[in-house]
Amino acid sequence: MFVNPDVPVDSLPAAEQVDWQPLDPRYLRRLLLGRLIRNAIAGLFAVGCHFLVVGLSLPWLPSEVLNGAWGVLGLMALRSFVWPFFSVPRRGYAIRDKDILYKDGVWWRDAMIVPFNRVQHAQTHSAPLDRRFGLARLSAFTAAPGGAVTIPGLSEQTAERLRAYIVSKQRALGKPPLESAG
Amino acid sequence: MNASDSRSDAAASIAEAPIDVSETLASIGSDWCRAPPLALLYFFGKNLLASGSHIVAFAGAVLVFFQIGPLMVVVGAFCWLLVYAIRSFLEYWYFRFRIDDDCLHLRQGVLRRTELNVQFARVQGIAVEQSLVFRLLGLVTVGLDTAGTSQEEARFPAVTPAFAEALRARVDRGGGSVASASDVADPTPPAASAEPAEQDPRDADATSDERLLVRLDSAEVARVGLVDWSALAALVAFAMAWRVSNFEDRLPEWLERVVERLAVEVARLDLLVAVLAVAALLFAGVAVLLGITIATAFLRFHDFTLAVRRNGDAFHTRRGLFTRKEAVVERGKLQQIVLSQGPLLRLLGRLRLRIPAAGGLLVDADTPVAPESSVRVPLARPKDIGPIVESVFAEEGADLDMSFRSGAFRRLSPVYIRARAVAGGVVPALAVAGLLYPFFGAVALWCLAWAPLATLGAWQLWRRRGYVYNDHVLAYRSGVLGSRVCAVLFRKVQSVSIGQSPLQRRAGLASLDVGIATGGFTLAYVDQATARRLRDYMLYKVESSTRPWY
Repeated sequence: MFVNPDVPVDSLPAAEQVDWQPLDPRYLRRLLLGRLIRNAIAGLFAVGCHFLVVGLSLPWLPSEVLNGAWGVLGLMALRSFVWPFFSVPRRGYAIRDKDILYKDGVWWRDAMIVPFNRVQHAQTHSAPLDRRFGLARLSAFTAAPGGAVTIPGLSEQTAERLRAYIVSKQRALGKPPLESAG
Repeated sequence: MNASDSRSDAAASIAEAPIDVSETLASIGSDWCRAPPLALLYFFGKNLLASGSHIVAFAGAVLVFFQIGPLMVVVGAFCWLLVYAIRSFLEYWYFRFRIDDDCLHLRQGVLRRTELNVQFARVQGIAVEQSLVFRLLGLVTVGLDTAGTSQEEARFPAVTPAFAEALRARVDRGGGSVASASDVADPTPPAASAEPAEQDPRDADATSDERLLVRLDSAEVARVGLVDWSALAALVAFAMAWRVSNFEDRLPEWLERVVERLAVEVARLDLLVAVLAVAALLFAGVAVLLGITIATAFLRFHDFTLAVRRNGDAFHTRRGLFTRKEAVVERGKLQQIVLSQGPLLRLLGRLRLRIPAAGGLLVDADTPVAPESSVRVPLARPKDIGPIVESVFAEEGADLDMSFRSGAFRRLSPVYIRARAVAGGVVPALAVAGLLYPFFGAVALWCLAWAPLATLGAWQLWRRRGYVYNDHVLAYRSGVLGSRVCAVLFRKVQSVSIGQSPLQRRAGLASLDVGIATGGFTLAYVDQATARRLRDYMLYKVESSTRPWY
């Protein structure tokens, strides 16, 4: 017999009650090293520009503006080193039986949830710096544009295990019979 | 009747004449086939249309800048056409296809060769197109569509309705080894079907298997042209380009004389008559523009019909004056309903409706033409909307009032106005005024007038925004001068996220971002508890649903 009981909305599992997993501790060091390299390259470029501008002695560019630009660059570099100490602890992920969750953000906080039965494909990705620290990033893509969840800072083993788990869940949940389309 | 029957509609309505499908299939071999020679017309027309605007622009530029004679123009045009003819022939020559039991293989491209494999089981719909030339020749162009992209994956030009029907039969079967070993497409017309199709596809109206939802008569199609401002926008852009590039210095001599003569004649007239003459000229210009847009609307939407199959599993659209286009889209593939109404449409008491399907991104809801994988009604009466929504959402959309002025829509928090006014009004106004003050003094303070204007804009945005939901559907209303309502089934949602800015956290608010296969929307500044409840309920519907989302 067909039954269709009411579902009390308050009884639905709330995403706030999940046990958030932190990212791998090595991720903070990886971020800092990456930013050190990036800032060093940007700094070299800025020094080159500085000498070029001083050499040209442009009349419409007073030295105060140049000093101000160095000040802004310095503040940006400082922020890029300090910010990961706040942002990394706020990131986290959770795996439930039917979906995957990821949260991030210090000021603007965001928590994204992707059901396994909407995942189109999952992939792991590691840049050279990630591999140096034994890390990888996991992405689970849906059909929605911008609807992919990407978790950085996972250990390579965890990322691979999660990818295999998502694929197995996707196979188990994501292919209902076409006859019931509607 | 199963869902696959719906794919046959487009082919079937054009191939109304009795066709011996088994005979057509029997004539099919297992080698790579080439399209019929008449497909050359298709490739040539496609290339010409794709680059026609470039040719006109180039020819115009050459005429204006180099002042060449008409003979050179003719020679140039001939050379250009020759290049396109050669290109079209090469494209035709390298276009090959093969049909297996369960798969279609396609090879095309001259310099960049591509090979495409489409499994029949993955085909979502068939679109049949008949241009004026092909109508006279009794041929059609068939397009196969899967959920993978927003465009048709495979197109077969200049094939017979019998071939379209045979292909449809193969798609319906979803592959398999029912047919004989010599089961490969031969698109060449068999002797019996070489004659032009006996039935004009325009006569193939909503059949007894279908229920007509919308039909646009001539007056309605003219209204579609009336509300299309693209010609006016093009004219404004042209006028601006004219001013910027000082084109009047490069006018042909005869045109310069006409303009000068006209100016002299107008100057001789009394003031009142001169004003009337200028007004008449402007009126004539606007009338010509409207004529162009209305004619374009007739070309695109003449005899537009939208019908739904009696069992409700597919929608069937037909449109076009010379080139007749038909498309069948399965209901399960449709992702959302988008209703929109600009100020002009409101004046006419009409709406626009678009129901994008999976694979068809909702780039611009107000573009009158959409990919054939979407259901699109360029103009509809309010009374037409109810049956369409009912057909798309079925029982899931019952009791949901989606009309723009519905009192059921819940407003966003008024904090939205404050946030928008500060971010888009107060902060930029103060910043610009502060930057300009040292140079312009008190005059720079006029920039502060932007803040109240931006606040008014934020208030208008807030007034229009709202959301409403029932057990299955969430609808979101937005707009500034016009209105737009976007409705989606909870079970078709792809991803969901909740974001909170510091201000939202302090006010107990949140933004709910709903991702669907054709775009998505954000309910900004809703009560935090409501956002969380909606998110959890949406996930419950997605994760507990056993029905596919496409």
